[in-house]
Amino acid sequence: MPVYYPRCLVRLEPVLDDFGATETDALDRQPAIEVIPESAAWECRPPGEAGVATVAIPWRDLPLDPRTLRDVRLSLYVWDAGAPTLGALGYSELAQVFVGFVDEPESAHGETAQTVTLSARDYQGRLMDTSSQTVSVRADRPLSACIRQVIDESGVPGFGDPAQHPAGLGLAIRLPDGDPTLQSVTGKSRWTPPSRASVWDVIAAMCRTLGMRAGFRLGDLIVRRPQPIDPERVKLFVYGQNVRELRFRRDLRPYARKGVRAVAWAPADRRLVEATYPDPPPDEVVVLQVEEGAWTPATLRQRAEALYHALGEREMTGRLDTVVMEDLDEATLTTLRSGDVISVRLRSGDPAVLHGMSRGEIVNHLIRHGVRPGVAEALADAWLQAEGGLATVYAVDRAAHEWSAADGYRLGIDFRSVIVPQEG
Amino acid sequence: MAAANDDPVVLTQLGGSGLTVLLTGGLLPERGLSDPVSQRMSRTWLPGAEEPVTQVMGPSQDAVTLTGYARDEMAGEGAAQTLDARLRRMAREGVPVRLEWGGQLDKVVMIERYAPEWDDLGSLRWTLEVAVDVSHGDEARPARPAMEAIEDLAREADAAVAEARALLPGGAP
Repeated sequence: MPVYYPRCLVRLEPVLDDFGATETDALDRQPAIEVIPESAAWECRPPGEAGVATVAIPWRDLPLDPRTLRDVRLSLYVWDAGAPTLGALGYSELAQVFVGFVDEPESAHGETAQTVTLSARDYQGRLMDTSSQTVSVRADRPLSACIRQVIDESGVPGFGDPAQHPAGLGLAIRLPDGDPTLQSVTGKSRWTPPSRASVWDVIAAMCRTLGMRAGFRLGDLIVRRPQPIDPERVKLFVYGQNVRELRFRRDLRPYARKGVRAVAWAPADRRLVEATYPDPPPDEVVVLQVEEGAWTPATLRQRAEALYHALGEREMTGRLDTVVMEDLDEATLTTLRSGDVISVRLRSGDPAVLHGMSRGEIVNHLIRHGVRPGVAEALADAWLQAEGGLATVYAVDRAAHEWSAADGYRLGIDFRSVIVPQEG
Repeated sequence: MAAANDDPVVLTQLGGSGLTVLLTGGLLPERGLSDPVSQRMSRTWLPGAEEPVTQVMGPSQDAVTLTGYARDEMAGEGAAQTLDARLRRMAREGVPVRLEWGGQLDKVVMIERYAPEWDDLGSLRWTLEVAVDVSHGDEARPARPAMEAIEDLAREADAAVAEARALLPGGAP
């Protein structure tokens, strides 16, 4: 019997407002405060959107007045206290599911409850809020140095070097696939960022130039090339075993399709390869990065065509809800995020439902219901052929996690069938 | 340590008027007291699954209820009215109260409801419902094996220290 002991902890690292008494830079980050919340929700969103979290904390448990907060870093930890893998205390950094900065502290006082609600976005949100001040970067320096230059020049609040800014956190940049220069692709000595762009837009543009993607994994900025799907990391869901509610949607209406431009890094040539389908493309084109490989214009065009048809004809979206904290392979689900790959299958224990039946079982079932044997066999073949063509592997679009002291852990996943290789 | 049959039930205000009510002999709760504890959990039967998914959120202490029947003929002249006056005042003042019964029960509680019913001026049936703030002696333990392992380690460490002290000149202090 699956039994979980879901626990949650919020760690706050506040900077208190001195209401103009001292210079901003002189403010120091206060000691961390750890609180057990009443409820917490965190959502991992698609690339281009910052992850969000909301926690509700009993007013009496917070040893500071939320009105005095100038800046707060919020870390959220959720774990199964009964799981043996998280160390003796049942809680460690492995349990961290979110880190970001609070956008809106709100305290509500009333007859029934006194609660402080903190709404936060991950680090990407703060980079999206800050306008880039960088005019150009030297393209012969490694990408990581260029990213640091953009962040430092733009003065992103809270991201300064801790040695110079007491309230700064620094930022870890990880490039597991190497730290190339922009010059290696552009051939130019300087690279000019798009104008009037946010810090995040500039970082994303630099990475795109190199066929790479940037994304935050908790406090680390990960920059790497799109990776093929790793079957070991596919999370397993089966309706009939570990899913509470499952919906599939397929849009059959004809619509004006967008063209697809597939972009890939060709390591042998040390350059980006592009292919567009159809050619010439319609007015709107979706740019999709695919995994690196020995792409030729012809093979990449085939890939672009396949993606075009998948997007236009066969894309299926859906949503599943569950209350389990691990998938069927016992991989933790509290850290599931956008871009992860899941396998969703439909299996019914209902003897009147054809899902999961063998060909012989389907034929017998249909004959019992008055269908002639020849027709039953033809129907069974058609059914199995159609079912065999259905996608069972999907990409997570949004992963919405919830924890509450009353109800425990809940997970809602929006997924789609067209999978484009993800970073990490 | 279990409560003996003649151990008194003692209610002591921690603040307010500092009243103490000693229920002993014929004033002891007629039907004793109920002291339930619950485990907060959610159980979900996922479609098709043969077993439910259980999420255990931790224990909660439910209200303790004491029920008694005070009669002057058993406890002395005016005992029922004195008891009523004290319990009523405790209930109205709304300050924390320590509830003890031998070695069995030791809790800090808040009186939620005091309900007296008079048969006559010398016979009082009363019910006291209290919400538990702090429970001594039966604190909720985290329901996880790892915590028990830590406690075992702590006990082993204590035993090792005691052994080491015994080896010191002069034996254990």
